[in-house]
Amino acid sequence: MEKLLKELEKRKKINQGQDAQKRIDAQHKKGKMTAWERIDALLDKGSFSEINPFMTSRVTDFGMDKKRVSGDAVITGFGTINGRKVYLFSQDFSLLGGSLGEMHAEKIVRIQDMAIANQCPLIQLNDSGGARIQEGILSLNGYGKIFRRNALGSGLIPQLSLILGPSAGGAVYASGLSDLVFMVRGVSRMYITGPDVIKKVAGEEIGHEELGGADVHAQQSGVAHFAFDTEKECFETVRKLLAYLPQSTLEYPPLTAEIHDFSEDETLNSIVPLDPEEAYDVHEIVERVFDAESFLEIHEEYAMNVVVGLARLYGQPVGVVANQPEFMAGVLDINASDKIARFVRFCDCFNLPIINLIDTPGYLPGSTQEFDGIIRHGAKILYAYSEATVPKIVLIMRKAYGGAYIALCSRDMAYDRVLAYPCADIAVMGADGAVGIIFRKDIASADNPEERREELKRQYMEKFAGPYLSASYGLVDQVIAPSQTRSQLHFALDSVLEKSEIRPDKKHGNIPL
Amino acid sequence: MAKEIKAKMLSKILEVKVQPGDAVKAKDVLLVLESMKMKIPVRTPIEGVVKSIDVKAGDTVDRNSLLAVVE
Repeated sequence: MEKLLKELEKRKKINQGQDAQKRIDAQHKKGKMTAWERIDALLDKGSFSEINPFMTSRVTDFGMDKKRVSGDAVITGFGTINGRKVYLFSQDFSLLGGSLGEMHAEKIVRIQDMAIANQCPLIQLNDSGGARIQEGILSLNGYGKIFRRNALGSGLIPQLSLILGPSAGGAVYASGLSDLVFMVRGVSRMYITGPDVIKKVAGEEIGHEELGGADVHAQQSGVAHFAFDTEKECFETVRKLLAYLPQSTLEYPPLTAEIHDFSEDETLNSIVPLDPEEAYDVHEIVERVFDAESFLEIHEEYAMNVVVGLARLYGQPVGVVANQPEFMAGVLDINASDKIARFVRFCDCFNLPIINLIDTPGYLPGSTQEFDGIIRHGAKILYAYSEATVPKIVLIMRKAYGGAYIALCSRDMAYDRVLAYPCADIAVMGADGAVGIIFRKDIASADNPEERREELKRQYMEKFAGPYLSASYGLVDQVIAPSQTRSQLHFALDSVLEKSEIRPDKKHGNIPL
Repeated sequence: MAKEIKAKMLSKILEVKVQPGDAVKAKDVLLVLESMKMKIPVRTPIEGVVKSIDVKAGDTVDRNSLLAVVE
């Protein structure tokens, strides 16, 4: 037995031979942590158990039998974050460039199957040169197996993808299919084809960071939901984020300590300007309304005309969707539609109630938006909210016009409870436009058209502006003082927290994509 | 590194708040523009010195027009 145990120890340390330090140094020199350091930094201390450390490639072509590494350049296993189980894989770039061969893929597939079967989150730590070309079609087929499981697990378990090195070619789709993508500046790069191929095919010269760095994907493409300066911050945010989520769609998100403070916040009475032309930063409201420092913004730098993120309201995790008047007046455009729809569906998957804070002039007019398909993209918002069965609460803070009113506030389309501030302006369009259309002839034939226009506008505003007409129709449930926002949202949410909705059986809907 | 600040949408410039050479902190307002009938402050994302202001009050600019450079 002693001999056998020695053999076991030797095999366990097979990747820690003489070149191990060299490999670690090489990784550090690139400003990256090693695959093992990442696991230690991400999980609760000492909680990790490895699975299949001895699996290795069986391909012999191109001298690959001489280059075999135990574990095939990926570490897979499970551990805990904040005491709750997660499954993960961590690709080891220092071995065979972290390339994905048949067995490397097989290990990932097994951990995906375990995460799905056990209904626990899956965390993918990507640092790989891509397909192992020497293993040819076996490598490609490995990706196919992985992506299929990403798709099957979608909506069942949270799938987080951390890009911690290159992720190029087909490999990117394991992240594209994930719920949330995390990137680190100077470390991550993600693209379908790298700068070399682009130069050959298109003659375009572009660097790695400019093509597929963290900022590109966090600001422009929207592929990344988070961008960080260091891997350490990335892991801290992953740990923080998972605390808002249930382990799977079969559970509810974990509540934190109960809070019984219903005091008013007078400052909120003066944040939303009464002048419809004045902008403000909606973060000021979000920060005050939800539990202190609980707001975790998602897609912070992408489509900034809308702010989305997770927060807690009296200990209850919720998803927040808020128009941002300070950015593009808070209009809804194509990117904002994608951002909202994707986030709403994420919340619905994981039983997070949704709270809409509304102040938007509507969908963005313009030929570019029309040509790029604002109709089908904007429809995603309607679809996502209609499909969602979680509690949905709306607070109309100021402007809620036209299509944006329907999409984000309309009682009978999707929302359980609709609250409004006294300064809410709910209408088909702003008073200016409405009067211009309804009283076109009246104004044109007046002795003093401008005076007449102003007079009609004043009459129109008196009758139709404000929340009370909507409230009289039952389309606004309650008009609240801004200072009571926090407690009133809590009561509204509490009133529908246990609701259930029964939907007819079907395979799945056909969301406009 | 110089940061180019561009218009996010069709806008009218209402007011320019800084001059080339001014030192600015991150999130300081460089200019105020109007779009969708709303006055919107344009802030610098970085701390630095205003290198250029490329518009003046009254100008109408398209999406992606250069407004200012901070470095």
